[in-house]
Formats: sequence, C-alpha cells, structure tokens
Amino acid sequence: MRSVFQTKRFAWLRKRAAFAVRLFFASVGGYLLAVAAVFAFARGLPLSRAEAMTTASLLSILVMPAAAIWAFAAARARTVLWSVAGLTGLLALVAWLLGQPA
Amino acid sequence: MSRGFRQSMSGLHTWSGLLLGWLLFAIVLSGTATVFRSEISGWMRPEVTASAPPDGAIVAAIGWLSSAHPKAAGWYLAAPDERLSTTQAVFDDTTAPNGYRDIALDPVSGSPDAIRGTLGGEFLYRFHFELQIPYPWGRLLASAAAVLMLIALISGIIIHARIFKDFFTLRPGKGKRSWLDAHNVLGVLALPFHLMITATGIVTLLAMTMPWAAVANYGDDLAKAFAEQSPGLVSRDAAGTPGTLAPIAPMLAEAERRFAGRIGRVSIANPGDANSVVTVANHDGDQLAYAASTVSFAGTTGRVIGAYTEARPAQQTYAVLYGLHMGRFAPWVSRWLYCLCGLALAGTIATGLVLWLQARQGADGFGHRLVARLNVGAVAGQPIAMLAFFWGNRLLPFGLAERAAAEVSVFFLAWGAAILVGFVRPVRRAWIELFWIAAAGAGLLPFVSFALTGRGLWAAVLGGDRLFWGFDLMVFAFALSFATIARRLAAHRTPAPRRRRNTMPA
Amino acid sequence: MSAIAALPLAFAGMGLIGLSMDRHARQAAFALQARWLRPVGWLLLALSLAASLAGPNWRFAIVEWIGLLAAAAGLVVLTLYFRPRALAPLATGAAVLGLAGWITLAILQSTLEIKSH
Repeated sequence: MRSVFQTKRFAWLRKRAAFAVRLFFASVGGYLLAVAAVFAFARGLPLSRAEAMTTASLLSILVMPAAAIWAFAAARARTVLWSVAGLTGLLALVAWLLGQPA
Repeated sequence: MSRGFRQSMSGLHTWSGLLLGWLLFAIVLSGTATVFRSEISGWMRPEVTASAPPDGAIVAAIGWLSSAHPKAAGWYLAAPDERLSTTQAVFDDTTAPNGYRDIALDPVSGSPDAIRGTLGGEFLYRFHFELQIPYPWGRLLASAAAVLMLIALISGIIIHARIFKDFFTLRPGKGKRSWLDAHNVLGVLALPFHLMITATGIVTLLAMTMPWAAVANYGDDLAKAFAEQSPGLVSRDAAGTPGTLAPIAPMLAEAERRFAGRIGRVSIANPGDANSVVTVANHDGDQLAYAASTVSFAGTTGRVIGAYTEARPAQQTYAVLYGLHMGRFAPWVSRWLYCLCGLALAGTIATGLVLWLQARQGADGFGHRLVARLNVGAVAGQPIAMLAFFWGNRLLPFGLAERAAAEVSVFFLAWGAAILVGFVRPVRRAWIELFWIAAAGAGLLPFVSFALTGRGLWAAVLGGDRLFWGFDLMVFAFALSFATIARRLAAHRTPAPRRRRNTMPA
Repeated sequence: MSAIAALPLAFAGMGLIGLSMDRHARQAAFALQARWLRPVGWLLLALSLAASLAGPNWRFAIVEWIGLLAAAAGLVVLTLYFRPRALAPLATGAAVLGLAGWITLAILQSTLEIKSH
C-alpha cells in the first residue's frame, strides 16, 4: 500500500515520525503500558488483594525501562507501535474482564 | 550484538543520561550526604551537648509540644539514638513557610529554644527527593529522573563491550579514553549498588507515581486499600471534643516490650482530641525492613488498640526495598560503603557529562557550549552549595527569624553563583577556580566552626566526640580532594582539538 | 567488625582475578601465568562472604559484603593506577591477613560464647 508518504520526498518526515513514535512509546507509552500491566497483575495474580497490589506495583518498575529499550532497539518504528499499543490494550482488556476483586 | 542495536542503545544511553544528568548529579550527591544526615544534623546543632534515653526524650518533647503547639493535627517525632542526640519533631504550623515545621528538640528539656534554627541534615534529605519544588512536582521530577537513570544504567550495561575484561582498566593520560575508563570503572565496580539504589529510589515514590494498583483492586475506596496494606496503622477521625493525653512513658515501655527492641518513631494524631492515637514504630536500625513493627495506643487512656508486625511476603519485600534505600539499617561499615558507592555514582554521572563533550571535541555548536558551561555549575556547584550551607549554619545570627529557611537560601545562592561563574568565565578557568573555592571552603570550615562554637577538632579527639572529629576530618579530606583536582586541572594541557570526524556513536 | 577479615580477603580475591588478566599482569610486572589464579581469586571472594556472614545478622552481612566487593575492586584499580607493581605482594599479604583475621575472630567469638554459657 503505497501512499504519498512512501515517496522519497517525504523521507525526512518518515524519519521524524519514526523517531517521534519511538520517543512516545519509550516515555508516555511506556508509562501507559506500566499502568495497564499494574491493573492486570493487581487483579490477576493469585494473591490477596493487598499482596497483589503491592506485587504488581513493584513489578511495574521494570516495565518502563523495558519499553524504552524495546522502543529504540526494535528494527522498525511500526513494530514498536503495534507491539506496545497492542500489549497495553491486551493487558487493559484482561484487567477489565477480571474486574475489581471482591 | 548487531551494530544497529548497539548504536540505538548507545543513543538511548546518551540521551537518558544527558537529559536530566545535572539534576541526577544533585540528587545523588545530596543522597550521599543524606547517608550521614544524623551526623550532619548533630554537627549543625553544636549547642546540644546533653543526651537522654529515647523514652525520656520523647516524654520531654511531648511536654513541650503540649504547651507550645497543642492545636496541631499531628506530632511526628523521631526518638534520639546513638547517632543523633536530639528528638526530631515534624508538625503542621500555619505560620511556617511550607505549612509545617521540622525542628530538633533538646533531649532533656524537650524545647527547641536553646538550639539554633536549622534544618540540619533534613534539608539535604528533603532536597534529595523534593528538589525544593512544591508538592507533588518535585517528587514527580525526582521519580522521572530515577527512571531515566535506570534506563541509562541498563542501556549502559548493554553497550559496554568488555565488562569483565575492562573491569579494572583505568588508563591515565589518554584523553577521551581515560575519561571513558573512569566512567566505566565507577559505573561497573559499584553496579549492584547503582542498580539497587535507583530501583529502590523509584520504590520510595511508588505510592505517588503508581497508585493504580490500589485503584485497580479497591476502586475509590482508597482508605480500605491503605488499611489493608498497613493494618497496624490505626486511624481515627477527630471526635471534636477535647481530651488530654495519658502519660506517654508507660506506652513507650509497652511498645519496647512488644518489639523486644528499640523505639524509633512516635506519632500522635490529633493530640488535643478525645480520639487521639499514639503510634510507636520500632527503630529502623534493627532490621532491613522499614517500619517493620508498630503499636498503636488510644491517646487518652494508653490502651493498646493495634499492634502489627508485617509478615506478608509482598509487603515485606516492599518494606525491605524501602529500607535498603533509606539505609537506616546500616551499621557503620555499611554506612561508609553506601557513602563510597554514592560518590562513585556521582562520579559516574559527572564523568558521563564530561564524556559527552569529549566525544564531540572540536564541535562548537550551541548545544555543545551550553553543556560545557552547565556542567561547571552543576557539578562543581553542588559541593560548593553544601559547604555554603554549613558556613551559613555557623555564621548566621542565632536569633534570625526563619533562620532555617535563611540557611537554605544560602545553599541556593551559592549554587546559583557557581552556575553563573560557569557562564561568565572561560570554561576551563571556571572549573579550576570553583574547585579552589571548594577546597578553601572545606579547608577553612573546621577553623571557622571552632572559632564560633568552641567545639574544635583537638577537643573532640580528646573527648572521644566521634561526630565532631569525624566531620572535621571528612571535611579536610574533601578539601584535599578538591585541591588535588584543581591542581591537576591546572597542570593538564588539553591538546588542541584535531579536526577529524566524530568517531563515537551519537 | 567482620569487615576486618572480609575486606582484605575481598581485596586479595579481586587482586588475584586482576592478576589473572594479561593486561594487568603486565602492568604489575607479574610473571606467573598460572591457571589457578582466577579460581583461587573467586575462592577468596567466597571466603570473604563467609567471613562477613560470621557477624550477627546475615541479611546485613550480605548487603555489607556486596559493598565490600565494590570497595575491594576500587582498591585494586587504585593500586594498578598508582603502584601497579605492589599489587601482587599486597594481594598476597591481604590474603594472609584476612585469613588470620578470620581465624582470630572465630576463636574470639567461640571463647566469648563459651564464657557466656
């Protein structure tokens, strides 16, 4: 699917856009992923409410550095977009399906 | 490792380090000083020579607070111990600049009147995670900086080609190569510490930056979240009717009996109210976990209404991680190791900032010049600011109104002056001059202190006053280090930058 | 207290590991190229952990040991920087001192325990 953006004239724009995507998912996107992960783990872990809450929070510390590294290590910016946004959405869905524990 | 991956991680390392590098240097250096905040507080209150057992000091403190601040919503006290002889008291006060007071009370009289107004080491502690920026922005910024540092550490490990081969490598006189060796050595030798202190630093602010787990599991009933997380902390609303506090000493004795250990912090919620609650936590020096055991009493009767020692694994993990960062558990050897490793981390950041310039030698763009000038004030300015803080503590008049805030102003004025010097003087001269100023500021401090307080090095050694002679010796050691740095900088002639293509990855 | 034995042992261990590397052996004018250098170095590091653990609180001891490793490695770097040729004799001396210190501490602790019973 070739659009006008694929032409050589817009190479500079593609580069800027790719960098912007990576930067977004390393920062804001990484935080949102951490939040979704925290929701999913706090509700999903087979522990008491308080224990799951604390465990999920502690694990979330690793999410942002992982997201930042992935955002810049992945070969294509497009991959970063789909994978991080997709994972965030998936975790959010899991959290929503699990619902707040009783 | 593919070249593309290494290059992208190198870029990530550079940017995550550079973006808030100056701030991180300040956070790490003040954090390192905080390792000895009790000792610094003791040095900054030289008129306190008495000492009292912790129970007696708390009783005296509450006696004074009952008459001077009976209407406060809460009194938060830290009992004296072998490292600090005064009682720390924090309480809300509408007349205070920040809405609360953080003062030291004499252990025998319970009154702060005979002690000079100063925040002591508490200033460096608060600056470390609040950066003198109003709540919550300062803490958010510090937390963001910590995340960036974690990213910088991990990406740094990824790009370091020969971690084991170059473990001990420090080659002098090779310009950029030597700076890189120094950056690597300082970063790798204490790497477990660097990773631990950064991750646990994020943990200490987690309740604010990642509150979503509580929202996920409790919705908007955050009070229940708090109660389930910390079942030992009994919280009762004020009744609105007045009540007098029962004698504290029996409560403290009961707490000590239950802990089979020392008391640490004592908080009294709604002291003048019928529903007051006295909570005693055990001393943080007795175990790794922070606030491991608490006992709560009904304030007016002294009856035990809550007692808890955390045993759940996740909560204990959280408490241990928190405790590892605070370092209050540390006996003196570990404490000095924390200090050394903290200095190594500060050195890693500083050499990293210099390295960014070294890798672009010959470049003369706006960014390059800005970084070069900012580096001076950010790095050399920090020790100068801290020394100015200590000088202010000795020189400011005893009766000065809001004296503690004035000392803090001295800190920031000195830092600002150093930053200015970095912009006004030629960069290389600025570094040398500032390090000589730091050396003089450190070297002269013990003499000024002796002249103004009478507590000199010789008397301290003879009297076994480890705090005072320890402080003086540390300051002399820093003076020597700063002077050595200044002399080496002056003697070193940087070769004229050769016009060649930049070979370091961006 | 146990650092009196643990730190020299850690320094000796780090020193031997350093000397087992070609570059540093050359710096230190250390001619012996033996395959046992590195394993013995690791062994000394393990012994320094054991010495640390002789203290009252094993959790504190582990934290202290990790810090001692950093300090010991730093001392090796400084030795190689300022007096590289002293590294081999210093490491040997530290190993002897560390072992002697550990044995002494162990004896003192057991005699104090015997006395208190």
